[in-house]
Amino acid sequence: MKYELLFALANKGILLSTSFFIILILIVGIGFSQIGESSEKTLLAIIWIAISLSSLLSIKTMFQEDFDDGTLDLYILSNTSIETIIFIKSIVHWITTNLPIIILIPLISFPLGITIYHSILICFVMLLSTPALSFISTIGAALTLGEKGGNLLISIFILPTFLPIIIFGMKISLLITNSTYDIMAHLILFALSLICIAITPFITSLIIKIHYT
Amino acid sequence: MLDFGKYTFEILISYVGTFSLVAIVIVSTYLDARKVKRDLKNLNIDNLNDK
Amino acid sequence: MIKFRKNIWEFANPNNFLSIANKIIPFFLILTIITLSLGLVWGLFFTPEDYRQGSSVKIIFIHVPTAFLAINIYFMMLLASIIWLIRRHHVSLIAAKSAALIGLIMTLSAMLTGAIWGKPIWGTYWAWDPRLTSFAILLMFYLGYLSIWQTMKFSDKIGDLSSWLCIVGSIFALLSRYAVFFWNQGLHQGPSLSLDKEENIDNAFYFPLIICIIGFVLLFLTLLLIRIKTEIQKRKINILLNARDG
Repeated sequence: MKYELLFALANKGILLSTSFFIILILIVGIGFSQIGESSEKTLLAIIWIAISLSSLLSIKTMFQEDFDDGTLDLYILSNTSIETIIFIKSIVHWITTNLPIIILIPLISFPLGITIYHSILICFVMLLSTPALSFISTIGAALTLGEKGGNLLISIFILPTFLPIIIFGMKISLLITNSTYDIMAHLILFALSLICIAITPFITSLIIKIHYT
Repeated sequence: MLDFGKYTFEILISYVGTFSLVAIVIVSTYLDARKVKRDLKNLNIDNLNDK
Repeated sequence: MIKFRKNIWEFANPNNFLSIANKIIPFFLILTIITLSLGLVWGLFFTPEDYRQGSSVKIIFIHVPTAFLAINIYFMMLLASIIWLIRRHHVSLIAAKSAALIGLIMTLSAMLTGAIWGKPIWGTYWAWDPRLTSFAILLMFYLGYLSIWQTMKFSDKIGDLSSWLCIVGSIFALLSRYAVFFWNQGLHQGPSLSLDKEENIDNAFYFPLIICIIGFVLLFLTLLLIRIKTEIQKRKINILLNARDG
């Protein structure tokens, strides 16, 4: 895991995904400011969409490099379970793409009009839910393994599957900005996220094995 | 004959719309089937010629 | 006509399937035309107007069958995909593939007729009502399933991948559907736009509606059989071409 993390850090994936996120937020913010309707609610929606898009950004390279240079073959031939490897890879992916963005959110949303208290609470919600996004997108990476132009395909397959989490996340964020709390919704979101984390490594490993039969 | 009172336009447009959508599938299915049939025939003739 | 076979899996042999399909396709075609025209003509010309909705209620005769099919075709694809993964019958995989386009069209037409119907009754073409949202979700998963077949060439590997996509897609479609329902029923008291479709329906509408549903199901089956047949023949051609060209 340490090796994976170091490798990902060396690839400068962090810089790419965070700058993508910042640019997306700023562009949409500037666009909305022309209509003059930039409210807290629209900003929340933009943040959720931006975070789901940027978690898809670097997913393509997750298995592709290992697939190309044969590391994945070795993993499959050796006794280490692929599920564990997928699990580690997804965690690393989450640390390198989503975590920096979540840390950035209070900084970027404060000048744009969300109060700092609310944005910290929203960060907490995102901490609960975004690991699931990373885990789900491994399914897409596994499905398009070996395809040349897989990036577009991944977003077609994977963005719809983000829906449950985005629905819950947005609703909870809306409740937060209305200063109402719903512990039930938090729990369900967390449960959903945990279920995704528990199940997706197995599905992904099954799909990866298809490429080797 | 085709006059359903207040909502004639809506009814007609929904019937026509649905059936034009369904017609896309029907036509594409039909064209596909025809093409495949022809290909299969040509292929069989080719095979006979080869022999 | 059709002899009942001992074992349903005999359909899985492409040649058996082709011979049976060739026998029943014309029969199904005639039946489809009869039921569909009967149901639609009955629905269009010989039903009374609803006291609340006026004549716009006649849209029900295509809206409900297409919506019914849109959901059930996805279930059928899921079933076929699982059968393919477990028992490796090619006809099952081809059936899932062929059904996808018909399902997409059914979803689109259900949404279209719903929108046209919604305008005079609810005052809006589209609202984010749970039912409508779940159709939007369904549409996305149909598009995803179709795009995997569009981009890659037919092979067993792609069959596996698309089957897994179908399974994963249906899990998440269900999850999103319940996520949407959760907020609108449990916590958030939203305006309920959906009509109770089957419950308060009058007999005058009930029988033509049932005939229309049967007609649309038959239409789907006929199209599906023809598409499966075409697909099997396409694969045959490919094999022949490969054999000839070496």
